Amino acid sequence: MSAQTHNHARSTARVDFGHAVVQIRGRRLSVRFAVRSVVTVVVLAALAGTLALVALTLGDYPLTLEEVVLALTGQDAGMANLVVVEWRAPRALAALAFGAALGVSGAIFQSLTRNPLASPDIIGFATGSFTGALVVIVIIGGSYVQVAGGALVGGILTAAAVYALSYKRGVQGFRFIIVGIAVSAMLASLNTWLMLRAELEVAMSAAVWNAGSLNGITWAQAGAGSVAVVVLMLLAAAQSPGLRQIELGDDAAKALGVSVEPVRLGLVITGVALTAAVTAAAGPISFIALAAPQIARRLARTPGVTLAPAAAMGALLLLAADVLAQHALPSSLPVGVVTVVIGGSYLVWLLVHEARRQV
Amino acid sequence: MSAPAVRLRLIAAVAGTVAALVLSACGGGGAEALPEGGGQQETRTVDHALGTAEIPTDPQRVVLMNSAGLDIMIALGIDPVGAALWGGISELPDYVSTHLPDDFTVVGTSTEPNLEAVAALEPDLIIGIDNIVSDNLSVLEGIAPTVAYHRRDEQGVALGWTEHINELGEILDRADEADQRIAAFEDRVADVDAHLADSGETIAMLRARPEEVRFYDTTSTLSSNVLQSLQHVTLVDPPFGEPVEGGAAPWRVISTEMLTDVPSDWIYVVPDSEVDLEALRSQPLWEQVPAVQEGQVCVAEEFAAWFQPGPLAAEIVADEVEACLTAG
Amino acid sequence: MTPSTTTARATGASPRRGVARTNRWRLTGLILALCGLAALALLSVAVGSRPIPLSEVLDAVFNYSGQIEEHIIIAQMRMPRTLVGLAVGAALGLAGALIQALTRNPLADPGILGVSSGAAFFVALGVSVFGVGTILGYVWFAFAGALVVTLAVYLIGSAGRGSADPVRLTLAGVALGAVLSGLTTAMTLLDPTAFDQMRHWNAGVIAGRGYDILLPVLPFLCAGVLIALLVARPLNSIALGEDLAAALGTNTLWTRIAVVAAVTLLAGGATAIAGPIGFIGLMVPHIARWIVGPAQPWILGYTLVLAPALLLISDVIGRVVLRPGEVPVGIITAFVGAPVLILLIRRRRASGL
Repeated sequence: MSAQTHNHARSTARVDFGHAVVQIRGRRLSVRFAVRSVVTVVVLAALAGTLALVALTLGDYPLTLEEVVLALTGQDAGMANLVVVEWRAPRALAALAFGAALGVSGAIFQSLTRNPLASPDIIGFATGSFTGALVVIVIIGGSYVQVAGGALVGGILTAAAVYALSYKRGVQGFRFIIVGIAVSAMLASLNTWLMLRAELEVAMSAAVWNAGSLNGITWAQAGAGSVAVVVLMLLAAAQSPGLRQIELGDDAAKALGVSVEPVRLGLVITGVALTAAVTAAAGPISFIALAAPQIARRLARTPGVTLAPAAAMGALLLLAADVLAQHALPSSLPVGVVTVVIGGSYLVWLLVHEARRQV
Repeated sequence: MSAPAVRLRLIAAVAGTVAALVLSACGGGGAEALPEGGGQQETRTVDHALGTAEIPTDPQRVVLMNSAGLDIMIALGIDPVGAALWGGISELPDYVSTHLPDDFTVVGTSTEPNLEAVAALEPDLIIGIDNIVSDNLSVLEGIAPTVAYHRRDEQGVALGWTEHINELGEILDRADEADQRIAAFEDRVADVDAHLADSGETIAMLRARPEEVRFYDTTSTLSSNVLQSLQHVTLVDPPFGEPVEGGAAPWRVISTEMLTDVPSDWIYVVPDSEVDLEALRSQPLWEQVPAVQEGQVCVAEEFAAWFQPGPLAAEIVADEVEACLTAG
Repeated sequence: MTPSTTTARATGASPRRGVARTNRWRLTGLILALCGLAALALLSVAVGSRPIPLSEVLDAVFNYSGQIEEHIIIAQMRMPRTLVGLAVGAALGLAGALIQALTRNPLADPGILGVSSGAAFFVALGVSVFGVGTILGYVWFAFAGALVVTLAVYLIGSAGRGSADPVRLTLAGVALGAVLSGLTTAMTLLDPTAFDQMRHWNAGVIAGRGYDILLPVLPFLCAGVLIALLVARPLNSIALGEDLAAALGTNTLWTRIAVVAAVTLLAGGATAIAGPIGFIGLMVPHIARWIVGPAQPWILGYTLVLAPALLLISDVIGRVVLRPGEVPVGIITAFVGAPVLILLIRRRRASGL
């Protein structure tokens, strides 16, 4: 009985965490996998693009398809133009860009830690950026840009503090995680306190920010966010060979002559920066970074998580979640609430499904 | 809350001076018809808390970005077609909703307004309190002319509804209606006073909240200015903590070990819910509080009227206060 | 959280020895800790937002008069609060030690089984859907939520076969916890009154919790402690790895079920009384392990004493930092505990606790 259980544990571990195990084989078969990866990316991108067009037609301001098209082609300068071009379009763009960014960021962290639950959250980034945002929202009462700045500063300071506090002749994984948990716990307490002290209205808008919301996003915000995200994703793509080598394990990488620590630090910084850009613009939207790389890995049937499919999946997921968040209920919700519910349900389904398959 | 106070103080100072100049230059009228654009309404240029706007002289479709202002709008004779909910409520209080048109629409909450729903109402004027409107000002101005009124004065103290109605009366060219409502309120308060013995008794406002009790000070707007305005019963400040400065929250959280330090003859409890009222009443020290021992405790019934100041709310609060303080 | 790697590490690291290497030293330490706890309990009765001289405190205990304000404060406010703190702290610590031993994951805390997210979800349901109107009502909703959700996590974690292995249990807890917290956020954002209630409940409070809250939950806590003490030895062998445990004659399945039941009763009961108080269940077993090494019975014993100590000292700090107001204890625990944990992990050699 017990031996059998143990076996199951191992096989589950291979399904969920296993790409390190089959990595070498994966390299050998990389050409065969690449075709499927490309197809996956193309299909996901096409779906996301279609959904973006659908999103332009949905909303409480009643518009016919014809009016939407007229607005998009610039032949209607009235309210339709405002609603479609100034409101719905930047929101859809932001969902695509930020979703892709979160997907890539998650893929980087999951590869680095060889852990499907890893995300920049383990270094307290989300908690720290919420602290920064809360200070601006509750104490200073600042504007969108100030909140974004506060979130950035808070998140980066937290990440730096965790890194520094866990640094002792190099950063060792377990210590890093524990320090991350400890620092996050303190900041989470501080956040709870700030929320308690704030007026109900202020606390609620802070809670909306903390869930992650694309509501009221303008071209200036979506545009700046998208540019930052695209630049960072290119940077991530440039670093992906280093990522593959680190995935083999520190020792193997060292044997290949790769200096692990600088490469790792570069990747961590890129991953954090991607999350930071999204968090600053829209709040800490959770579960996309976690779910997108894993779903993409299953679709593309790659041995490990890969950046491009994760990006396409993230874009599709976030846009779909935002469409649901806006239109599924009589009253709209922050998109982050939907991503966390869907992402969590997916994980539950996966656990049950994969267990069934093994029996 | 001190930094926004500084910022708002600056804005308020500048806006105030400009407003004074413009108002004195334009006089009360200031109305000017647009020379062209067939079928367009007459408009006038007004200064408001966040700038200037060209608004219709007789707006027909007004949308409010904070539902707490509905009370004032109704008093000024304007029936808004929509509003975003404000003040921790999930529906409008009855005393407000009975005055609203049938097709009135809720457009999300103040913190998460549904801008497409606002646009779909095709408003000709959008009004909101400055700290709420400022987040979306440019977007709202794309929908319709938008005006904002001040939440705080130049010292950073939150303004009461009488100041709000004056400011909005000025902006909407309905200063007479505003004056009438304030006069009616003052009459009502004098009426309540007349029913009270001038015994120099004091009263404290405690708000029973989840896990905490707040002792409100005299600068707060809780009670829609009724208790603050009474002459025969004096509202008291918390006897502990630092003095409340401009921009700070107008209350002190009081530990349940300190309840017997509430120094007043009367206590008015404003509970957020039945649970919170019960929690306060079951405090071991509650029976030892001087006002409780005297049986001089009142409980607010229509919470929204106490918390969302306005002329209609003030009438309800005045009725409650009169009934309770004269009962003993 | 790295269920796979840390499990491996923890297993690898478990033979590490603690600071106190002989049972004599361990016993001495435990007695010292008990004395410390007694002193803290006294402090917790003596200190509060209203300054009361020690003589008056003693007077209230030995010569109580229901007419004197100070006596009422001591007997009806601070003493029940201190007892609640002892019970909640011990329960949370014990639950944490159990769940860490079961999952062989030193980063696990009771929340990993969905206890706090389940409790929060049910309380939010109670407030916004059923209009629950009393603190005692919250208690039962929270307790029911903890029970139901832990059961669900266990079922998901063991889907398709007889028992749940630690990794899948952790994943199931994280996943279901995320879904529930999302739903809770959605519910509270749509209902401001519920939001307001929940943000206070979420902070973790023992102020104002009297015997009327403690006594109904106490039997469940006691049952949890009893189960915990019974499974201490089987757990010890599970910590060595399941194959070895089986070879030693431990029934893994029943030990697991017993541990999950104990964790649910303890953490669920504590959360029902005080709301979610984090960090104690994560951190105190670490300290205990640091002192006594990998022996489960000793870890549980030390946790039982050190966890309420951390809670009481946090609560006392919470009463005095912002006089005349108070800071909820759940906010202070992390600020007291986290620096200790960071110092500890920095002093250890690289291979973990």
